[in-house]
Amino acid sequence: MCRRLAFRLLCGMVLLSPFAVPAADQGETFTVVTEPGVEIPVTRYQATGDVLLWLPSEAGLTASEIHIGAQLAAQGHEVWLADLHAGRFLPTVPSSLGKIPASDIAHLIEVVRERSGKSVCLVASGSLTGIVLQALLLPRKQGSVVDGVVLLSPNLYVTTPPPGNEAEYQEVTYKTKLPIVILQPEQSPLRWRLELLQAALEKGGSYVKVALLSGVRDRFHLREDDPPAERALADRLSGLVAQACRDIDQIRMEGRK
Amino acid sequence: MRVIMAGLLACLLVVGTAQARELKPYAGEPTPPLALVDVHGKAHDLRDYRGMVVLVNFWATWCPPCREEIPSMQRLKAKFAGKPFVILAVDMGESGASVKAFLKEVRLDAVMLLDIDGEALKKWKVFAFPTSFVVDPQGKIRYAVAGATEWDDPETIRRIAELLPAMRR
Repeated sequence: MCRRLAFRLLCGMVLLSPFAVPAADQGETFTVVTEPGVEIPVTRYQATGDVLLWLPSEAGLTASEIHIGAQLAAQGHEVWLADLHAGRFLPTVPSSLGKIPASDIAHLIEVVRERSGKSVCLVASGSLTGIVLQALLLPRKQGSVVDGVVLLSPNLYVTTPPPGNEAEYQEVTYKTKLPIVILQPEQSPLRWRLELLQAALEKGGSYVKVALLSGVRDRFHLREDDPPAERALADRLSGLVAQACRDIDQIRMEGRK
Repeated sequence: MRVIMAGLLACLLVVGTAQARELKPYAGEPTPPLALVDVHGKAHDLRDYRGMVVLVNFWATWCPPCREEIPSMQRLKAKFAGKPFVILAVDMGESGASVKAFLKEVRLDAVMLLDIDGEALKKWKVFAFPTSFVVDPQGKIRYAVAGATEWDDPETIRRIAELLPAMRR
């Protein structure tokens, strides 16, 4: 209950803050029940465009992401922001991700598709990526599919290996067959193995497009010590994500998945 | 309220302490090659440092934990002053100018190498910044740590010091 109240306060604070975007609408907040006792708070910004379902990662849903959601809505995209941690009363620490079942995400996608009736572009990041791709492999209702996935700094390693040992990708990496756009900050260890990740995803049949984000670190849009370059790009992230979703549409139209 | 705040502070201190990693015996692949140019354009090869204990540190100026461990790394270097101990700091993907600018603010007596294209990082199988390896005088990696560590921790100093006499035999 406390987390849900905090979530609503967070949304309110962002909308009232001096950084607030003149959004097309202020967003409505409601819950999606994925199983008995699990109510995931969702903020929906209605707009005429296609749907972006934004799933936060390790840090939970942040004020920065709510701000980006509002920016996207102002650009004409319908945005759904889901607070996966709050639905299960999980603290926003990295280990909590392991307690979020893929079925929560699969259920959310079904609800988004049913209620909006629109194409869905899914946005995920960091270590949530593996759970998101697993969700997309679960049996689903007809039509409950996404057009593609935008991945920010995806981490698909089974685990970070000790120094001097090779990393393994999660099995789901090789089973996914979707248009994928990776937005990878340049200042990151993940950047150096992008080619391997791309090859692993393509092995499963995915079409992967990669965009390197110059001069910024992983989670740049969530950091509080943000240098000017990160602050500037964080302000442009909504545009990059919107472009990535358009790229996914293009990939689909060209039948490249 | 004070009790709650004190509890929160204690939790933060515990978490903060827990984030420092320990040097652990290395269990990876044999020592990969390391041949890079330093910030002054001079070529270096790990093989040239045989007979010395070498701390190979993969880092970047933009990485907060990398910056955090520099003072203790400098204290370690001072501790082994006059001994055959060298730090090869491998900067990931940045220009020599960026590293030089950073070193005007922070002192570290190390050979500053540039891994512009990430080839060394890939060969050494580095997945987190900072990641460090301690190489013995025979050129074999003996210890490694992923994440920032307190380099002047007594146990760390003892482990590195133990490698030094081996060089004299």
